[in-house]
Amino acid sequence: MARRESGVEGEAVRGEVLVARGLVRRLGQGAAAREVLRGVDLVLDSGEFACLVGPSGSGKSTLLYLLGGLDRPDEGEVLVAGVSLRSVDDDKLARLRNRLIGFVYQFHFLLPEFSALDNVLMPLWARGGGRSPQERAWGAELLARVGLGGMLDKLPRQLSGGEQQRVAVARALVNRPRLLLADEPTGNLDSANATAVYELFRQLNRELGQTILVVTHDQSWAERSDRVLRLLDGRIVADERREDRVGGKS
Amino acid sequence: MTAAVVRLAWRHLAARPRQAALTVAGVAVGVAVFIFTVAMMDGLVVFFTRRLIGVSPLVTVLTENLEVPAARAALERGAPGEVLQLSRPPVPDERPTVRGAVAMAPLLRQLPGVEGVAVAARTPVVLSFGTIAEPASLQGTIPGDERTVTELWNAVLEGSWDALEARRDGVIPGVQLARRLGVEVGDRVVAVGETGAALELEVVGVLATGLGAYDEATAVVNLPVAQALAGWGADEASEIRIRTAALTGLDGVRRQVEALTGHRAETWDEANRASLQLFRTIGTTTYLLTGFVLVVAGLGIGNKLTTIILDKERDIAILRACGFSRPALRGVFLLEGLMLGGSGALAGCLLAALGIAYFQAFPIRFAPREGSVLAYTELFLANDPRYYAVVSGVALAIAALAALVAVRKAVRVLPVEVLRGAA
Repeated sequence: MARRESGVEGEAVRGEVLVARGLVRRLGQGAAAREVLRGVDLVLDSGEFACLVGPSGSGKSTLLYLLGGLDRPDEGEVLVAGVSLRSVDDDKLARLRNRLIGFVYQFHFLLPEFSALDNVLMPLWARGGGRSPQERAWGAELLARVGLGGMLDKLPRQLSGGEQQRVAVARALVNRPRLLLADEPTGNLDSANATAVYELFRQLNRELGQTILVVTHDQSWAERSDRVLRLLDGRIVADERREDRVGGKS
Repeated sequence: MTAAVVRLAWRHLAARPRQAALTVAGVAVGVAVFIFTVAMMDGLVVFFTRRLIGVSPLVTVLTENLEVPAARAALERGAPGEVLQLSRPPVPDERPTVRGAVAMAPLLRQLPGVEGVAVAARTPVVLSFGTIAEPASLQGTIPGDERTVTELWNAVLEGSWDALEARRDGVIPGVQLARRLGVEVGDRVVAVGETGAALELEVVGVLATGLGAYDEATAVVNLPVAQALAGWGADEASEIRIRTAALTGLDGVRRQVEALTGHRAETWDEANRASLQLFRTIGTTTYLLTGFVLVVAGLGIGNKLTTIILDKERDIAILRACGFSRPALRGVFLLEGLMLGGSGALAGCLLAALGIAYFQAFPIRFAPREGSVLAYTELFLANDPRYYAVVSGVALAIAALAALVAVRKAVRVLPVEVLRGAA
């Protein structure tokens, strides 16, 4: 595994987009401290569509936040596209997140004062872009892909929950990230919208070769993904690939 | 990134127009009140200074002797062969006067920077009119010379300064003194000096300078009258009054005058140091108190931004997650503070400028108070672009500080700490 500690984007070893080694995360302090993750190892190859499942409190979201560089592990390290997130400072980490990782949260977390298109372009704004016609066209195209082509100027409050979540998905993709992480992206959606979001992820995975890791309680997502990782008590206890599963379908 | 920072800051404020307007109004009031107060305090000092300079010499030669050999040398240069030195033992009851004052005057007029010189004799008298007697300070002067030194001639309310020049026994009492005596132009009063000498004088005018010292207790007469009542010789005076071209930086002229006369000389600002210092002290106190209004306005900005930041904690975390750096987010809220502070400062400057312009066009006038040091007869407002620049600068600095303090903690938080509980 080629890797760089400097935080400068490096070339990943072919195929490996995400590598996690020995991740340990403790939450709380003093006597109340508990080990949520107890040494998680994980490798995700380019173009994989994987689901992370497990009971509530098993550490799924915590693991996803660590993989996305939104939190720091107490032990172990994460490499995204060959870049270690361990030794970089917070601002450099923010830049790495911006360039390498797209994140879809359970709640859409759109900025209420900005239109759907502006929300999508927000990660580009963070790197000083988002104003050129090409970039705006790209943002509009992403919104069109998620079925919101006619709602570029709508404010979040003018959109339904499903539409807001789809805007959030477009936002996560606008920087063409190497890795897309989603934390129960359909947790707040009805079944029709949940299906729409799934189809969108699958389409992105197939058409753009997007590497995707989704935390979900939705069994149908798990059944249709390429790979299912089961987390229990802070450890990955099962790693099933599609070919291992009988009757797996997309 | 800069464009994004500006957009984020603007949208945050635009989303809460009423709150933003109230904050801006708070800063505007603070800035306007501060500028107006500075204009008022400076106006008072300018008013006082103008009044003072109008009736007082800029440099005054006093009776106090200095051991200055140059004085004799200068006199000898001015009148070669005509200056004699007489030595004698000190006389304990020697009169405190400037001897040779009239002879010195032409020499003083030749000094560079000197525009006018007038010899004056001040002596205490009692003025009587009918059954009324009032103590007064008689100021003897040569009216024509006095015109070159002060604008006392211009402060004659009734009668005229020319009449004093024309009538050797004329007297121009201060307006309050005249009122207490009950005299008008044309009345005749009796002046009794310290020596017991008495002279009958005719009121040829009434003086209204606005300065208590003059209006309450001074009467101006011709120099020989004052000298006669004081029992002084024709060349004795209590002071030599000098007008200079410059108003400030008079130390050089003062030193030259002292060297020439052998008497201590005092500039107008030295003579009125106590009053000027009092104004400065009042000004400083006022600025401090008014400054709190600005600080309160700054706290208003801090409060507004803290509210926004608390409300936007989740959005800040999202922006951090999207890749915005801490300096960029700090920039967003700093800019918001500066927008609020800047708008408030601008509105405050405009408000103050309008207020000052209004009160300059339609000044509030007061009735002069009897016994006051200075008859402050109108709300006199000074106006200087520096007031606006300094106060706006202070308002912006307070706004920036308030913004940075408010945002300090918010940008330190890791996104996950907010997002974990926000869903």
